[in-house]
Amino acid sequence: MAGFVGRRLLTLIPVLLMVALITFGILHFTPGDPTIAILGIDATIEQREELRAALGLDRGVVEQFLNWAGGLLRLDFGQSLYLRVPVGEAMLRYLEPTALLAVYSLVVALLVGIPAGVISGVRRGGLIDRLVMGMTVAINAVPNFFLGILVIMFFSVQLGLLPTGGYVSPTEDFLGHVRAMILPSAVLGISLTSFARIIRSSVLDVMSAEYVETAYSKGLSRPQVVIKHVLRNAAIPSVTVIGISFGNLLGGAVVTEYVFNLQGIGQLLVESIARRDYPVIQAGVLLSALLFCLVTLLVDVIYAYLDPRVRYGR
Amino acid sequence: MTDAVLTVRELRVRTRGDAPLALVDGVDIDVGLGETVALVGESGSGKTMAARSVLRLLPANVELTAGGLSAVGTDVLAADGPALRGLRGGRVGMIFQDPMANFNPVLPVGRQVTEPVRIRQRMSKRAGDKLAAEVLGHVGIPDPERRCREYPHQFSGGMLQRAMIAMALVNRPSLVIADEPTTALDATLQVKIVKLLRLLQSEINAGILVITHDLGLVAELADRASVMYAGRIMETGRVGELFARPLHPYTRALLDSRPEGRTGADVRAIPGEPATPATRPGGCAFHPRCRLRVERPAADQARCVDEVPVLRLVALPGTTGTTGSTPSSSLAACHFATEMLTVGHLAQPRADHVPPDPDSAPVVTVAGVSKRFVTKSAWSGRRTGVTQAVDDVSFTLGHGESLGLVGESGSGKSTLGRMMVRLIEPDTGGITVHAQDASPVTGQQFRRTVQWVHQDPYGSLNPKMTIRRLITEVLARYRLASGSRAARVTELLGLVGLPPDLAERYPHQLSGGQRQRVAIARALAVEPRVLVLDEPLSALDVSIQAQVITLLRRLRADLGLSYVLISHDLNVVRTICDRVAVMCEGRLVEVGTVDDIYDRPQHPYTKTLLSAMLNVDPEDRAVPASPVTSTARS
Ligand SMILES: Nc1ncnc2c1ncn2[C@@H]1O[C@H](COP(=O)(O)OP(=O)(O)O)[C@@H](O)[C@H]1O
Ligand code: SF4
Ligand SMILES: [Mg+2]
Repeated sequence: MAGFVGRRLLTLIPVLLMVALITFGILHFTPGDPTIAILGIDATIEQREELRAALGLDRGVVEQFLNWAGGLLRLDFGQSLYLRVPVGEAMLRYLEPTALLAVYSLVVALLVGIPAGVISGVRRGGLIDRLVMGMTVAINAVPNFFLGILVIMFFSVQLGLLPTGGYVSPTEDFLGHVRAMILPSAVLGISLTSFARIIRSSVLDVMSAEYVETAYSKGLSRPQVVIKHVLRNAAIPSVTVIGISFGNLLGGAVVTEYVFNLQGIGQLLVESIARRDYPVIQAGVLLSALLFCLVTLLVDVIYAYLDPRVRYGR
Repeated sequence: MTDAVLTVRELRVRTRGDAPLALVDGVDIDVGLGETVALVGESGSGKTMAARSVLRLLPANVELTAGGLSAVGTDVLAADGPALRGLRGGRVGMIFQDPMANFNPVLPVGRQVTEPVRIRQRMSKRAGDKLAAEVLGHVGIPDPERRCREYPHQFSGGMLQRAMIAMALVNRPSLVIADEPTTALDATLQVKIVKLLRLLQSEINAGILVITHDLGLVAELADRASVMYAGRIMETGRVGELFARPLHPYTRALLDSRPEGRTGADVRAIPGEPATPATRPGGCAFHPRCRLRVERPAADQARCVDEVPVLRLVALPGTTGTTGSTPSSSLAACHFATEMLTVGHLAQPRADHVPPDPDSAPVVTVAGVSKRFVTKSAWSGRRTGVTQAVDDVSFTLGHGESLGLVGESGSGKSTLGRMMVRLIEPDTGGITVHAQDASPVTGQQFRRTVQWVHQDPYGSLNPKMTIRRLITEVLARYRLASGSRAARVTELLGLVGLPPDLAERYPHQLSGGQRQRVAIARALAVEPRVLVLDEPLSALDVSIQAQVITLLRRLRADLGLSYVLISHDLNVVRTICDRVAVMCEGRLVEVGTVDDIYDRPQHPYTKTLLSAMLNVDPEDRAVPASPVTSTARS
């Protein structure tokens, strides 16, 4: 297993290199000028040229890329053009709310989605099944921002129980952190529970497998069959789907971050694009790619744990 | 009979809903302790449904009723959840057909095998492992301490079937239900599994209900058998009597259509398709296919159509008492069963095949052909294994000759077949195909000359095309019969014995036998000289197998075709082929005429293959069988 993980980590290098090259290329060949974003539309040509030289934007594209790439090797992502702080520092600050939000909503989604999916699969056509299936349709149909605004109106504005938005770091004020994160995690988590459908359909698949019938023929009761034979097999196809949605969350749940004003990485990236803040955009895209690859790797490890056929490379 | 471990009366299984279909229609089964009873019949006859009813393991969309159903002293119909679970895996063990599908892929085999014990009594992990190793060792799995921790995909099919037997017997049940226990296995393994079952049965003295379509297995394993057709029992009796003196036309027809121990000329197919619950005719369900009925006067024929025959004892005039043999215990559901004692063969004799002149010009020359496969790891791209699939094989196929290519699965038969139709290229050596004038043919012409008929016709027929389009497409590709393609399709279908209106149907609307015929018709569309047939019968029922055998023999005579028949079933090969080539681990170990190979095998591997054939007559077993043999012995 260690060798497998090691090899997979090595393959990250070319992937990230490609991502770096492509984002750099796209950014530098799309129109738009960071100096206008920084100095405003009224700045004179001379002012802009001056800033351009100061930021190193007057050098050749190749030279700029080599500079940047060389910095990457030293984990130096450059200086944000707009925020005027090192990019690495900015990223870390904005990553914290995003990562925590992703983890919390994943937990919410798993706590709700797994039991819902399993029960509706096992008792197909029953009351819970129909309820769960109806809910997942409704949840999919309601956009996140709308749900977010609704819960803010109700819990924060009407009842005044929770803050309307903003992020509080757990190291500063843990209770404040919890209060700030309850609504966004619930909204995002609930919107993810549509994977209950996937769990349900894998449970249905597995329930009709012959080895499940064999299990009944050995005298197992239905709960025993589900727990010992169905769950693990049904988890195998679900893990990928859950992993991919988690990977997407890490790249920033932009809409939710905006609605709850969490100052997350998604929000930072969108704003940086408007500001033509090249170093931040590049680092942000690289970071998303890296996190996504790591999640995929984690999914594969979980896969191998669940499925001996993968573990023993059949 | 001793203590009954299974008593089934008037068992009926119907689908739920407004238009219920009767899947099992009034079946009685009795199994005593230490006794083996077989339920035989073609697929779809309701055997599995009947077997599963015993443990109430039925799909949700069917319902079960019975006049009585008791297994090992428990009234199954009245049993509640705990009582049923006490039977399942406790006093009743169940063995299924496909071991790969019946083991949970993510759990170690040992844990699954001991599960029936572990859910009934608390057991430490060490004790569980010890028990697993012990029972796996007992069914002949080598190195059981290690193997019990392995997963199903690390086992071979035969080993897994042994493990499944261990699993069914781990609680020493009084009744074992085995649904097609050998069907998914190679011939050589089938015999080993049968031996194991008999050995274990003598140890724990359980009653066995074995479900099968394989008459060879019945002869080998069972004391009594019931023959099922369309959800009903047609005949039931002691196996020896059933084989020696079938009292029902269907039993007789099944026996006559066996390829076992025959040369082909006397394989007699049952005409038509087996009845399904939806198409079951009124009166005697077998009447559209019955040969005895055809020979009866019109009034009798009408009776077969109108009146359902009941299962009753058939009186045997003359035999009882005079020779001192046991009186018949056979029951048959046929209005005219007594006629079966007097009528001779119920079929027309068939023109026999003349073996080709051994010196005739060859159509195919295979010279020193080898092929190896290299498997690579998906991650690292490193080689993980090299398989020498075919190793320096040479032979010739004469005009009009049929060559059987036999061997266990994995011996390289199919790879060789695929090279003969140029689906893959050999690494070394060459395959030459000759035209009428002995000159080698190439390219497009090669593909026309040698055609391939696949094991699984369903997989090779595009499900989105009608039969007409499937055949027309081939004609168009080779620019054949332009202008008269519709007529040619009809002609081709006629050639394989299918009605013209079938051309408008889709593959999924056909039965397995019909699909195999379509695949043959499509191969014949390009007027080939050679057909390479890869396991053409293995997916088909006995009676349908016999139909296809007959068809292949006729086509060869009519069209002057040569066949290469790839099969692991030596009985089938014997009915069609002139010569047999035996393959083992990629090499050709023996080639000879059918008579040489079957009667005077030289190579030890050939002898092993032959000894693995399940064609032993029931008289060869210790059970006293027909009156003739029992008098001879006494
Ligand atoms: N769940 C089901 N619902 C309706 N019909 C079924 C179902 N399962 C099997 N059948 C039908 O019941 C008949 C008997 O099936 P089965 O007992 O499996 O036959 P066998 O074991 O003899 O091949 C077949 O015609 C089959 O199509
Ligand atoms: S009852 Fe009639 S149709 Fe049925 S098996 Fe007997 S003779 Fe044939
Ligand atoms: Mg069956």
